[in-house]
Amino acid sequence: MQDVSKNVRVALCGNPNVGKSSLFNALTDSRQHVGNWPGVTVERKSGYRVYRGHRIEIVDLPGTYSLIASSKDEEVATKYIIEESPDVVLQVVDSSNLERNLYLTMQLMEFGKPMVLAMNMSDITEDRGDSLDLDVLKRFLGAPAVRTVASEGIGLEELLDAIVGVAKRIPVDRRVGYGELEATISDLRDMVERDAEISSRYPSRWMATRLIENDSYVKGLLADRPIWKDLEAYLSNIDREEGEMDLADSRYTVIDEVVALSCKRCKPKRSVSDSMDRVLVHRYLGIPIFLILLWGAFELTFSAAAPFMDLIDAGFAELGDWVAGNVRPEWLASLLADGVIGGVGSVLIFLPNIVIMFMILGILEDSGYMARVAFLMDRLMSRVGLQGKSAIPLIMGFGCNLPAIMATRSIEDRKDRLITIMVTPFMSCSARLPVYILFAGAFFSHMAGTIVFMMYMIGIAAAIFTAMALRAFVFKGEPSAFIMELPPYRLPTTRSVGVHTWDRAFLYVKKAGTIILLGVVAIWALASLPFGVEYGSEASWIGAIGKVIEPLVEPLGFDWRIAVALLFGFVAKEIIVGGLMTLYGAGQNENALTDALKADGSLNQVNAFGLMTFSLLYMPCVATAGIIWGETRSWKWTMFSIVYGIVLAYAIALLIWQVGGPLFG
Amino acid sequence: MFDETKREGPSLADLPIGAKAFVESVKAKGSIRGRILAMGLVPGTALEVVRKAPMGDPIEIVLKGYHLSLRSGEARAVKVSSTPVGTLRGIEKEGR
Repeated sequence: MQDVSKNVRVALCGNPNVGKSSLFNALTDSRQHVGNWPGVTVERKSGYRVYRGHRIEIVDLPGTYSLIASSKDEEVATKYIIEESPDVVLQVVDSSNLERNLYLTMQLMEFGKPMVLAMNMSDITEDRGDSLDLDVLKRFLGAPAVRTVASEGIGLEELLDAIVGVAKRIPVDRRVGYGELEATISDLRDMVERDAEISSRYPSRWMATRLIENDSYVKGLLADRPIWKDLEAYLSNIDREEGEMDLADSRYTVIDEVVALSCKRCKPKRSVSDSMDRVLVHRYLGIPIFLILLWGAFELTFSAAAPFMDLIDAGFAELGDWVAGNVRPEWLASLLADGVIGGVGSVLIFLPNIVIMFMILGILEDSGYMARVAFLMDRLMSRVGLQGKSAIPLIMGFGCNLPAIMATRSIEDRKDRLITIMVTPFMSCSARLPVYILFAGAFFSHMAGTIVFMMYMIGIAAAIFTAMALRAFVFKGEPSAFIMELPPYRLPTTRSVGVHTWDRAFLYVKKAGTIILLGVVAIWALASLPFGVEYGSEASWIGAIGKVIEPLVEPLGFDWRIAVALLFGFVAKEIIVGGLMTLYGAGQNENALTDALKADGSLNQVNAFGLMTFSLLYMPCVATAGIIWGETRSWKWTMFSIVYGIVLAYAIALLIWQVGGPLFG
Repeated sequence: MFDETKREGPSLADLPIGAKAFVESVKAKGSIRGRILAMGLVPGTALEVVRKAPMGDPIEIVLKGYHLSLRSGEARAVKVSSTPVGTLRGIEKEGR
């Protein structure tokens, strides 16, 4: 009946928050591949499914509201559909929010590809008594519409049947009538069609409308063609702003008609969601409620993770001891035990934190609460050069900077995201706490708590200062827009939270694991060479480096031992304490270290405070630096983050010692 | 078209909580313009201001059956009127 070849490539599109990921997971099971789109850090997910003799490959395009290439996500989606020519374009539509969802449909229709609509969340619409006539919808849009509930796996077979049915068929021609603009579109089409190569590759009507909308991607395709001069001259004579509005207006007019004819009683009611919002985003209660939830999330993250962390810690210690005792030659045992096992262990120990934190974040995200947090915090955050969506990553940073930086993916605007990534390392993560506890305990016994609290405040101040400076000097110009949907609250599904958590945990282990491995091996080599020295002692290369940089840190009131400990701290900041134990010969006993530090005449309250501040601010740990590179794909920004942190830490510690030393020393 | 340079009508940012209005035109420039239009803020669309965030910004509105938040900066670029007839395009949509 159909002569479809066995391979069917499907582009999966849709607005954000319509259950696109759930559908993708349900369709592809777990046969998925996660990567990045070439050149951008937008995540690319693809998967496949074998269905009735067809291998159906599904590529998950970024969630977008429209397809004018104004953001990276939209450009990626446009480029895939137009350049890689999928056999079927599958749009996931939130049936309970038809009008806005169909706007994307109108734009997808212009590509002239076979289309299928998955009318998702149809249970919600039916529960509230709507009736949606799928046949009418199909007749108007020229694409089969299938009722689905992705989270429960309902409608998948019908959807796959529809996909196979339209694949590689000549698509039904459906177009939006643009009224008065048709004459302009027709002129532009004629001009585009003079270029045979371009018009054989791209639909000319699509190009004409995108030119009116000033689409940078289409402009880029035409910029070096001979016809561009004429097009440019023509475009400069029409009111494109007016035209852009007319196009949007016409699309929504068609949508209104389609919805009126196909849907009875499609009057969205969200009484439950509305009453939740009356409390959760209340003008005065909203922020306090958020802070309480946040505190609860932290409590849960750390208390629930603690036993697992102890287990991992003990496991690695055991393994390290075994290797140290049984592997020969000795240098290899040391490399494996002190370097690889110690280093990898110091990364994996955070895995329980990461898993639990992403589970909580996944629940908050899928429920729709995250969008409310961005709404509540936007004003405050935008005052300091950030925006509402920066709030979550920064707060997570107090737990661990690493997942925090991964969480910045929810910020679409590139500049806002970069600034957020750059200031996240100043959020004092839990790994820095042992350093504060040690020094505050040793030198500020009666007011240790206050001193630790001050560290957190100094970190926040550094973040605010940095964000404002970057906004004022580096990312000048038009501030990003904040136009965000507040989706209705929904119950998160176990599956979607599970998949999200697994993806993030896997990325953490993979990225941090490779980079930290390099880092720890390098530090191990410095601490153990030349052969035969005591690990990390004055005679080792790292000790020599410590001696060399001692004059540099002397103005801060630090000696070579502290310099070496700070070098160790680059791997992971809690190693500073371990490093000092070795250097002060305190064994594994923290009380002995406290006594040794107190007995060391060169240390007092002022340089102890300086050291705590320095530990807080100086460069992110290796794993975080690795993630910064992974997320920004920019050596420049990764280096900036490292160098800037050191410079800032140095400046402030210098100020503390030079001013505070004479005053209190 | 109207001579819009002479007549600066009220914008979405001027509306109090609970106010209902119709979009008259969108004055935003560049890529923000496209985003505002794509979200359904096209001339003639009925909308209602639901609430404002702490410190009065951003604002939350309902249109086309869904909730949208935007900063007052963007909201100022959306001109509104109390009746859908103020626009020549004026395709009257369901007048809530």
